Amino acid sequence: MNESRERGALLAADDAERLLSGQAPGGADDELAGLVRLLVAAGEPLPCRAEDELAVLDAFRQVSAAGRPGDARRRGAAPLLAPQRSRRQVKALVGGVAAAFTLSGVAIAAQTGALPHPFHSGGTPHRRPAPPVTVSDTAPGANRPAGTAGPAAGSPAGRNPAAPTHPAHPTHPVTGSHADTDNHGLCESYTQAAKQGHQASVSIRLRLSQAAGGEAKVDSYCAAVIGAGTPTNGAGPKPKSTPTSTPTTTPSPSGSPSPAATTAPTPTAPTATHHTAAAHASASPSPSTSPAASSTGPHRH
Amino acid sequence: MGRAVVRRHGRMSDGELGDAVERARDGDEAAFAAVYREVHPRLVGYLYGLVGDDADDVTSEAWHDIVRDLHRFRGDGEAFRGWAATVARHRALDHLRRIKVRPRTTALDEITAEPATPGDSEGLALENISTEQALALIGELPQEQAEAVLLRVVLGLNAPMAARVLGKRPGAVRTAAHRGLKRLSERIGTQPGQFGPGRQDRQTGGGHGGQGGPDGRGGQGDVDG
Repeated sequence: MNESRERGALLAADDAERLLSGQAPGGADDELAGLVRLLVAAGEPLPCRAEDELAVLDAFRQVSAAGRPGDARRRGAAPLLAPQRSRRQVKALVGGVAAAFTLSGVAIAAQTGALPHPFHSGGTPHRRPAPPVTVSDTAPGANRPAGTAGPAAGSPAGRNPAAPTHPAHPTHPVTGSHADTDNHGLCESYTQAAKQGHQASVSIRLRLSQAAGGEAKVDSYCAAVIGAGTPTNGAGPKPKSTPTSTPTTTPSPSGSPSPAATTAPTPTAPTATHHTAAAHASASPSPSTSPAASSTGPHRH
Repeated sequence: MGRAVVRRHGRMSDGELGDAVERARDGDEAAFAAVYREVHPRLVGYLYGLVGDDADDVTSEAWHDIVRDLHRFRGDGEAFRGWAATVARHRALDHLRRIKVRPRTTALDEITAEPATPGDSEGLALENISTEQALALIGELPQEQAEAVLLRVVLGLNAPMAARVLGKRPGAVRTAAHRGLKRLSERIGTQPGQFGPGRQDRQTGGGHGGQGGPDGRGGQGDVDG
């Protein structure tokens, strides 16, 4: 570590590509540990301002009210200001007030430890330091099923608040090492994502493949970690996370979601085939399917 | 507890997100909220790497653009992430032009201020690196490299989509991202004492950083047109 050689020189292109897509090169821990740590930290969602969300939702309501399909959507025009206060808007206003109450309710719940703090990530220091609440991720049943369109229910609890990072989970009844405790939640995310036919975030995959000693070992690693974390007892790699799951479904570590995984009985996967226009948009830069182009041009020039 | 973690960390699948976007386009507010909560934190992270502490404000502006133009968007989840990133990027570049200079973050100062224990001082510092510090470190790369890394790692875009956001060829973006990682690796891989030189290097090589504004806009042409 004290040598002043430039490790960057050792970063091979395929290692770089692997890192960028969320895999930690298995055998290269020493060389790349710092970089992996940096990328993991960078990949954590940042806490967000609640008022921003309310403002955007409000704008959304106004736009919706002003630009209903029947009213001829005005291209180019920015219908941010609704011409009159329609019933719809009044309803929206009521909804906004309700949402505000929900927000504060959740905040209170979080303060009292009933929920993970919505604006605080477990271990990483953040711009807006939250009160010293210990994140008590209580019982599995306490939170809504991961599959549901959680946040859509109007509760901000499900939002990003980042990171069950390292020191975050005091309530885990895990008897294993500290690292395994930390990675328990990550493993659950990982297997959950796999079951839903998509990948866990880059951050998760990087951390897990590092902990497991390689991408290929993540499955068995997580099976073991999740098994050890089962509250009932530590016997065997038994899935604890969800009622309907087996954690060993193919997690499609790096590539695209494997079709096998999408067959998992998750409540939210229904749209796996719903990729209407797109799937392609991501794959092909063809101008015909370029929503970015058509959508951003007008107001930017 | 697991569920909360899943929710926080998990990423909506493209299908889920695309579906939510479609419903949002039809005026479904709950769906829009879900989209927002999925994408916003990542957008903020991306912009934090570009504009530092102004990221919240700039991202907020971007969302108003997104709301306004949502009815014209067509595509799946990945495409939406890309589009949102493009909109946010425009806002960020505008912002940077307004303030004329890329913000100097203090991430490196904070990290190097950690007490140096021989042997593992770097490990200690990086061990506790915050998301903001990490983003700021990436943000100090030449802008092209910084953006390539941020789009891949923070927004989780695939290489072709990242290239579209940047209005560049996928190969060029891949190269930029690799160079960025390499440079980061050099800077964090050496002793903390060497952060200084690394940084100077970047400043003297300021042609890179300075290219941010104009070059970035140039890249935009591809996206816009």
